[in-house]
Amino acid sequence: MRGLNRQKRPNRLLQLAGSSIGGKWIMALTGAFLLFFLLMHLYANLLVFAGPEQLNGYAIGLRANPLIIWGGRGAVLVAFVVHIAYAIKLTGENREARPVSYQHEATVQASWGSRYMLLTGGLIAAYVVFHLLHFTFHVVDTGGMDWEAGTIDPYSMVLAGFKHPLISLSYLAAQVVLFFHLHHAVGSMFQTVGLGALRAKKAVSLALPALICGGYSLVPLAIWFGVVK
Amino acid sequence: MNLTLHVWRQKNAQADGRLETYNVADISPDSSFLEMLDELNEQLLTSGQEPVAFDSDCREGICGMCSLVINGVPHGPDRGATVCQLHMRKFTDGDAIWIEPWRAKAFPVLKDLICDRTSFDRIIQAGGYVSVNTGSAQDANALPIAKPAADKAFEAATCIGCGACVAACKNASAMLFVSAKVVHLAELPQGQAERQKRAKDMVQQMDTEGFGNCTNQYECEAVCPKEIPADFIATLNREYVRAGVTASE
Repeated sequence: MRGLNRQKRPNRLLQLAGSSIGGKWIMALTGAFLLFFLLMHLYANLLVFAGPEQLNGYAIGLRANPLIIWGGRGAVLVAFVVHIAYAIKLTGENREARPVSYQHEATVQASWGSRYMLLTGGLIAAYVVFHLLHFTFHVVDTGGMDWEAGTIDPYSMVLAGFKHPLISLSYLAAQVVLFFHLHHAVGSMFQTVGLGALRAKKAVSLALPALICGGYSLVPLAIWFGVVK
Repeated sequence: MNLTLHVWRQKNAQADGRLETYNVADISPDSSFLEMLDELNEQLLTSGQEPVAFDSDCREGICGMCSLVINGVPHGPDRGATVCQLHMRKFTDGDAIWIEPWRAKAFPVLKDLICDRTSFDRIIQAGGYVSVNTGSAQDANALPIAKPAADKAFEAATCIGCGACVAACKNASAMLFVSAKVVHLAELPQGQAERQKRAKDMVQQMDTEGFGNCTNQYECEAVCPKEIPADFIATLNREYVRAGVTASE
């Protein structure tokens, strides 16, 4: 009997992952992890206001610990891929569920963000690729990246990067798109994990994206207006 | 009132349908929407045309049979009401009105504005009941139920299974319907024995029927004639995962 039960367990989880509600949970949990990453990344970005020593010290500390940097990168990559794969799977199923659409369409209360999650998500994914090519892989070179062996200077790199108007503007535009995506995502996350009746849900789904996108936007704005030099 | 109606006409389940335009004149603002359609049908019959087929039964908002999408909104512009409770005074003289059937793979159109909603019956058959025969009704106070639980169960039980939630959902998801049925019985002592199995089996049947996935847009609760809240879907999400992880069967 014990052997039978053991065999059942993975099937049960697979069944859960393949179901409509399981899919929602996977979207919510991977999304929650990506949200956590956004908050950690924001903390690091805001260190730019504390000065070069602080920001560079944080970056060097992070790089000195391969478990954190590679473990973190791996986890974010997995969450990102699973989140996108499930979004495509679920959207495909949703389109199949209504083969003939309405001739006269109407929307009663669905928010703008909720209706264009695939579009905003796709734009964010595209921006992330560009962002990595810029700040991580240095394929997009905006200066300040000529690090000598053993020394890294993210502070100069960020400053040089955001001095380019196109880099700053595309970054700010990405924040607007991210805000709409997160606005629906945060409320949705609470609903999916069963906290739909939470009174604070509405406030949090507005405040958290505003904090994240506003916080990120502060860096290029501060560089533009010469607050950070 | 004089109105222009764009009505979905479809010969049978296999045929392709299309919108046909009809004009109706001298409609009383006090008539119900379905009475207006009755008048259209009399007009069609007297001119030798096939009348428009549509579902209706009680015409007092409790049976869940009427199922029209009016100008893109299931049950029309009134909140918390079925089509049969909608009156023509909600429209303006000269209006153009689009009338379509519920649209979902799991609700195939049978003819004109009538669709097959037996997929809901099969979801109920998968677990939307208490299978223990409890005999005749016992004394009212023999089985105490806390007032908040009784209220919540009753709120869920007001679902008439019309399917407007599916019709309104951008993904044709049946989550509000299933959640109402699951929450209704999960709140009551009689529903406890099969609570986990019920959530699992009903969701599995919902997925098998080809309904879409919920993306938390809440169009369902906006059109529900019984104003069942989408909070019940949050409860179902929790019930289902708990059942999936811990259910013994």
